Amino acid sequence: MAGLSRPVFPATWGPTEVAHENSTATARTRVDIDCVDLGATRKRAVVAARRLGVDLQRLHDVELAVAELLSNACEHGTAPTLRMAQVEGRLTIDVRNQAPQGAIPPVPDWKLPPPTATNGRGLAIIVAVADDVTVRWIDVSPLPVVSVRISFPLAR
Amino acid sequence: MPTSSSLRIDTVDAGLVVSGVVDAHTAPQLAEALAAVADAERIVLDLGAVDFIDSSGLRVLVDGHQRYASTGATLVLSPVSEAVTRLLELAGLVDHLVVE
Repeated sequence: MAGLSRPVFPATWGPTEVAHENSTATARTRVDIDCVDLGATRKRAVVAARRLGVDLQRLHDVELAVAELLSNACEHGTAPTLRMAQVEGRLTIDVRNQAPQGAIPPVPDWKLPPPTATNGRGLAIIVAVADDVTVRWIDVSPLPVVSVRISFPLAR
Repeated sequence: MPTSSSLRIDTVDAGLVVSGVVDAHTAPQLAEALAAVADAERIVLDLGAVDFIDSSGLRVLVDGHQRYASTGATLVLSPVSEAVTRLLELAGLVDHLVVE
């Protein structure tokens, strides 16, 4: 169920080993990101999610989660990427971005801020609509990469 | 630069009628339109035809709500589409903002 479990962060917030790509994927695709036209990117992502067989009842949630992931990646990082795959009967969506030069990526805040706050709801919304939210900091050259991976059920 | 996200905002006597997509690219247009609404005790934002909204749009709604409240006015969201309702529920804002 979406929204019932907190996201998984590294045990200690810091660079982890380079994560190996999940080899059990039965299909995968990469969606081009255009930070100047996030609407078009979102639509490509929705088309890709449909093609990979996501449960159509969750399509709006996929679009919302992708919107938040992309806003975040385009606003806070560089060289964002969006990958989708079918893994063990689920659709996984992995959005990554390079952290800014010299910056230690901040520990992401996944809890909803007070209602009066105007910022800081992105990750909380992702956690509320998606399953299996995993945030990682991957130590690669030349800049560390932050990855947020989520999943949705496929249609039965 | 034109983007794929299209937002339409019509000014009416009571406030604004908004339709289309409120996302990172179009939210500033909504903020601008909201700031230009004539002073009134009650400003109605019709969000019944909003197909998609994300936290960028939410930011404009929360900010507008607070700005009007600080002057003794009320920003009323009425009606709201399914997409708006869903996001307000997810963000726990149904009771904070004025939704009719």
